[in-house]
Amino acid sequence: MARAAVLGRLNWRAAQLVAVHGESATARTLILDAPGWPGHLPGQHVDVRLTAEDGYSTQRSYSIASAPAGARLELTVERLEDGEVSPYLADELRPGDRLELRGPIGGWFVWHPGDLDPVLLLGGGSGVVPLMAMLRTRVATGSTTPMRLVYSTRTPDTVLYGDQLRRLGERDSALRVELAYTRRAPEGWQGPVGRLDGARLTTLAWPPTDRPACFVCGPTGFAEAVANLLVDQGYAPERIKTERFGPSGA
Amino acid sequence: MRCAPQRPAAAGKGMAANPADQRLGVVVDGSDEDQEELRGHLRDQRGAGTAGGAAWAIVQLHDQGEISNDTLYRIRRDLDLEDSGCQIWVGLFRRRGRGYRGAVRQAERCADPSLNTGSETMGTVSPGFRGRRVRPGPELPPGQYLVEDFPVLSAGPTPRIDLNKWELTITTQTGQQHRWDWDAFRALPTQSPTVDIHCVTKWSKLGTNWEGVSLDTLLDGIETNASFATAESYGGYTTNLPLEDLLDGQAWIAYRFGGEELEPIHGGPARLLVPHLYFWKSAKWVRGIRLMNQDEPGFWESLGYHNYGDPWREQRYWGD
Repeated sequence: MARAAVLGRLNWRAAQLVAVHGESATARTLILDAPGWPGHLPGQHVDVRLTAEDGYSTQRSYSIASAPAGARLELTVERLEDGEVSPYLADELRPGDRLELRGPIGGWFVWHPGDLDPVLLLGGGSGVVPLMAMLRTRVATGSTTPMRLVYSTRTPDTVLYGDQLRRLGERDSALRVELAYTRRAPEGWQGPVGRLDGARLTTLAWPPTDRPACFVCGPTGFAEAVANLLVDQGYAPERIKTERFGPSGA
Repeated sequence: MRCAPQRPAAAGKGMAANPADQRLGVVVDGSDEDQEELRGHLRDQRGAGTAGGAAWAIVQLHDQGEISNDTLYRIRRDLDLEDSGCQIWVGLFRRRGRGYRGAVRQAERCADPSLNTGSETMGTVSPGFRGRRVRPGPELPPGQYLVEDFPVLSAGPTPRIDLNKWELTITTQTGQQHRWDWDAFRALPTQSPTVDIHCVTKWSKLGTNWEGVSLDTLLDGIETNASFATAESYGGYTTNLPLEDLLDGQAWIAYRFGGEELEPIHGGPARLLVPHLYFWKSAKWVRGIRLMNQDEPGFWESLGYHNYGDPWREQRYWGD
């Protein structure tokens, strides 16, 4: 693989929280203003650095949830009970407060809007965040690339971007959004409840012969299981990109 | 130990301090005299009001001896570090290793404000953020945090590898190939290194136990004047590094972790283990090492990640 032009150093830049948007009981979206933000591709992430008043600081990585839009950047943060950073971001950071960002990072788990191959997005839990950036970029660029999102979530209460996903799926015939509930489905739900299996995947996804570009993102157990399912079903391993996060992504 | 308020000599031990900037770089070995001298020096700095606030002490050890936990505890107590915001980093390196030179450079950076801008050290404050109030652990490189579990990061599906067809190949720059099947590989002498591992995604795991074959063993008798190496994996992953980073007890092909067979999600049946570099260099599912005259960026190195990846110099991304 040829190396692209070497970028300059990714500098830390100050960003200000403009607004917050609750997504679920445990997750919220931070809308940030990051002057000088160089733009990003959907699927990339940022490093976030928090510094306390006495100089103590720590860093974590978060996926970008928004399509590129100037200096505006959205991160969706799920609160992990034993986390050092996520409870602060999910509960305490207030509009006007500042933090530091470095990015965009990662050139692999990205969707290029110019790609015309059908795209199969498989998200588990908050693994839907970078996939949402891809869907939003699809809308923002007017792309007609067929996309399908299979979003595995525990219950109706844990769904992120629920209303927005419904609207996206309704008004765009080349986009399909499928929810898969692993523990409890909403009332009146016709489909099965439980972890994705091969049979379910077959009904939700394009056949392997369509050679979709597959993006799998979620906790390690989800990403591992789904990537294995895809390989079992005959999808080409080299067309499957994964992004995994363990319980330590706090 | 040298205590001159100058930048330490790059190849030796030394100490540097910059009172005006309240930052401190220290390079010592672990002899008893050095440990006492270090405590005294830090106490003096503290007394002069130059080791509080944003002071950083980088303590460099090597295989001549280690600074004991007791000394570290006493240093922290002497300096009231828990209240001062002062942090101590300790790195344990072999003097010949790259990590050693990296830590010396890190000490220089800390002692020299022109090499390390103040805004980088004291960044934007986020009101109300306190964090865990756990100081970076003694062996933690900058920007890392400790984990107890073993997170998994892979760019694609876990490859399925049949041990009967498994093969490890070392290819020299002239195309000469040396091959081991699983039985031949497992018949080689083994080592059981206990090492710290540092992932570029910020987690570090200390004191991990591995079993594997040293690259010194595998490369023994192979004639090469190559300067670089690329590790190649089942599944297509590649990563590049200088050949010297694979030598002198710094790298292994590991097949056991924590006393158990290495799980496929962690790179089993066998992975490269180069713990002094960020962990993406420790290629999972390794199938070969290609020796080369010229450096060629591997998978992540082509996608924005640093070509060398020294955690002690925080070389995460291009340009770091």
